[in-house]
Amino acid sequence: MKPASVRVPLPSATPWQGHARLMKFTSSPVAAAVLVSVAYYLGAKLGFKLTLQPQPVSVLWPPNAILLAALLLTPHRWWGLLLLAIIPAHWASQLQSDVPQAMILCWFISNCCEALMGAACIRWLLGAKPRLDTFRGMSIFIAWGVFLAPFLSSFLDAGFVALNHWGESSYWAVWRTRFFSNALAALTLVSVILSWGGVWIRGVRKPAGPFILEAALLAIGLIAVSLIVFVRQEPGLQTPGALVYLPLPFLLWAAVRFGVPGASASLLLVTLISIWGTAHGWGPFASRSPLENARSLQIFLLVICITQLSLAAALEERRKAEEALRASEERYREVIETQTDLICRFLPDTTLTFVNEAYCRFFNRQREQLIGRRFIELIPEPDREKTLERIAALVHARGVQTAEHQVLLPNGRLGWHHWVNHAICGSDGRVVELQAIGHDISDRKQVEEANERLAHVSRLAMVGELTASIAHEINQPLGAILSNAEAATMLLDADPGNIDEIKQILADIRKDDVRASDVIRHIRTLLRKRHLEMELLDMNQLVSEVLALTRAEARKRNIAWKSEFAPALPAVRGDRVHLQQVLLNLVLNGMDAMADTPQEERWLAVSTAGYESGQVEIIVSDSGQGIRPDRFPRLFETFFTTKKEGMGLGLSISRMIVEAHRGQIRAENNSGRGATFRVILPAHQNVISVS
Amino acid sequence: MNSTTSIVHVVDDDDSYRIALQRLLKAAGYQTRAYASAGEFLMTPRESARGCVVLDLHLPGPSGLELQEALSLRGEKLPIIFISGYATIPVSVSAMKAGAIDFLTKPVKRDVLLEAVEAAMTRAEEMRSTEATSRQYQGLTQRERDVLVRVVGGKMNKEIAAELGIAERTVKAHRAHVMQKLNANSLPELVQISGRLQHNGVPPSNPSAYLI
Repeated sequence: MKPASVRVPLPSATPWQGHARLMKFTSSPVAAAVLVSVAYYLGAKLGFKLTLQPQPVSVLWPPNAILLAALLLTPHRWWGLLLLAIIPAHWASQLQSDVPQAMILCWFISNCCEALMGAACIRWLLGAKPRLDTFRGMSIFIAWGVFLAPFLSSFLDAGFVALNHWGESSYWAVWRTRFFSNALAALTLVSVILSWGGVWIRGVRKPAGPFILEAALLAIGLIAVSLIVFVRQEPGLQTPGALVYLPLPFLLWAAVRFGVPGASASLLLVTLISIWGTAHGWGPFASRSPLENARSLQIFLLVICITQLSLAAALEERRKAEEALRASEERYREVIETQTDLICRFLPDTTLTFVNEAYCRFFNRQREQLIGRRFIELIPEPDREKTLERIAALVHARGVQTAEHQVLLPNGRLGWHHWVNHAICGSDGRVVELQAIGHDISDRKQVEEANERLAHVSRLAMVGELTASIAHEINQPLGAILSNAEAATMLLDADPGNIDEIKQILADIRKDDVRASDVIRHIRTLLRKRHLEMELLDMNQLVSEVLALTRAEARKRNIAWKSEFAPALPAVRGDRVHLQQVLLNLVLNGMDAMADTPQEERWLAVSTAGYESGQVEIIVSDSGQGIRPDRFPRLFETFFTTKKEGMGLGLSISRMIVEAHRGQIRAENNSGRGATFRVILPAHQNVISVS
Repeated sequence: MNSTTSIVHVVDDDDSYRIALQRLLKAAGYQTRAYASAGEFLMTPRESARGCVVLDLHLPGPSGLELQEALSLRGEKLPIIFISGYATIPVSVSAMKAGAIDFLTKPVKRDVLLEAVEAAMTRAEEMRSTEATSRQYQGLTQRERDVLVRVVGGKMNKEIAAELGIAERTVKAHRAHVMQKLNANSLPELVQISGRLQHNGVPPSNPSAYLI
């Protein structure tokens, strides 16, 4: 992935960054207060300028909007200071127009009420840092800041005017004038200040050349059109009213391409130009009395501003959502593609629909060569059917599944993979696709196979040691069979009528035959080379099978035999042959350790135990020479042996096998003579009752 | 059954083998008794002193060899046939040295077994008659034993009289006593009896004078 395409537009992170910048700039509330004060004063001057003559009707009254914007941008604990700060600006601006002191104070109060009301409501609904780049934010701003606050405060204002008997206008005329001029000001100015303040606070990347060019073209076009429509036109009824729509395409352009900041700036421009033109008696809104002109111009501007700003906010919200989605997708894609694990998605028939970079790399093919092909072709023939069955089972059962199977490597050899498959369901609940994460386990498998070979060799060696005992175990029933058969022959020769005895003999022969073949089968299982095959095992039975094999050996060496089986022992999930191997090894070790023990003191004890903690223990104790303390640390190491003929494989293989069963093997010396080995295995839930 | 009946004692811990063996011996016409361990055999009183033992070498607890030793210490002279599922040469050698009749390996063919049992029975009989002879030998006086050794050694009465410093007539009388006490009717018979005594370790009192 190219680093250039990595973008980090983190919308959620910027407010913090922006907040920090805001705090840096206005870290001093005094600086903010001075700034607001100056802006308020200049706003008032501008408001006076934008009045229609001869009867002064203010079309746009900026100071209140500036105050509202300032309150929205600053922490609320500064609000008191800001209100105090505008007192001189308020007085300075009003005094110039010969307004009585009481009226100035009243207006100050109503202006503050309006700004506080709007700011409080917007803050309450949009949080500490209100933003206009979402449709909701814009709607709330328009409803509370633009309409409700001027609407309510204008009653107060008109009331004050009536109380002070100032001017000649009626209560409702004053109310209407103030409401419209303040609403329009709030709409155009606050949106500009908030959105540009937001741009400035959050910071933007340095704009690209084409972007600046486009903005310049838009500005030039908009100014030109506005001038044509609102300034150069002759006043009067002849003016084609439809021309007022000329700026609309440019405003749409601004809204679509430049978001809320662009739209609000464009609208402010059109507003200022149109008011300026109308104030000079030009344009389509200069045809009637100043009051009517002002009203129709205000309504026209309000309608345009509201629609354009809402549109811009909605578009910007969508664009940001798309950007966020794209960023998120890219982040996930990045995560997937930079994985060293192989990741793919496929249909239930194993047709690949997605593969990540690692997958392509591993199989040394292009993505296009893989997508649309069935991955079953990458699995060696013998494993295919099993794999398809497994996938069918997952489609049926849903959920997650793990699998290990062989794969064909690009070099033609075979490797091993471990996969975690995940069923993906469609809206109707059916499995539509499967996702899989896999990695190469060829190395691990090689080690496992080597270990299995080693275990097998060690098993062969152990069975070799037991040849004499095994011969005994087989010869015993064979001898009985022979003697029984010969006895039967003799009995028949002597008295052919003695059927009952013959029947009994035949039954005994059958019994002994089964006994002999059991021994042979058992030995064959031990000698076979095989993979781990997990099944539920009764440890008591497993132990007695091993003891049967070694009983004769123990007798040969004059070793007394003790065994104790715990009743109702929980089952263990494990491989029968491998666990028998462990036990056989421990028993033979125990016997070997007693070579120097006086005959009458030789004993070997094997017992089983189950614990409530969910473990099954097999304990093998002997009365041999014990383990020298310095040998404990290396006891289970490969090729560590104290025996003359030993290879040092037995205990290390035993530990390997026990650990593969998630168990432990431990050794300790007895308090008296000899040593004890313990094999602890995790129990399965099912209890196998032992007869 | 009276005290002179011969019995084959079978000692083997493997139930089915023991039963099979007992069946076979019974079919061959022998009286049998069976025991699962050496201890059981030693604890059971004998109904008859005659017979032999078919003994498994590997028994739980005391082994077959230990049982053999115990019997010999008790002076119970029952011929023993060892049977084993497997056996090493040193073990069989030591068993044979201790007087075993035979050492058989399982599975044992009928003819081999019966032959061994038959041999053991014969041996038992021999041992019984040797024992009688040896008891008779114990009944001889020192002088009679001296005469016996020399007679069997092929010396003339006169030579014996000279060697022992007694009258030739006295030698004759001793010789007659010896013949009578040892139940011998002729000189060859006497030589045979004497040979059996020697074979069973009943020594003449004066080995230095013993000439063969």
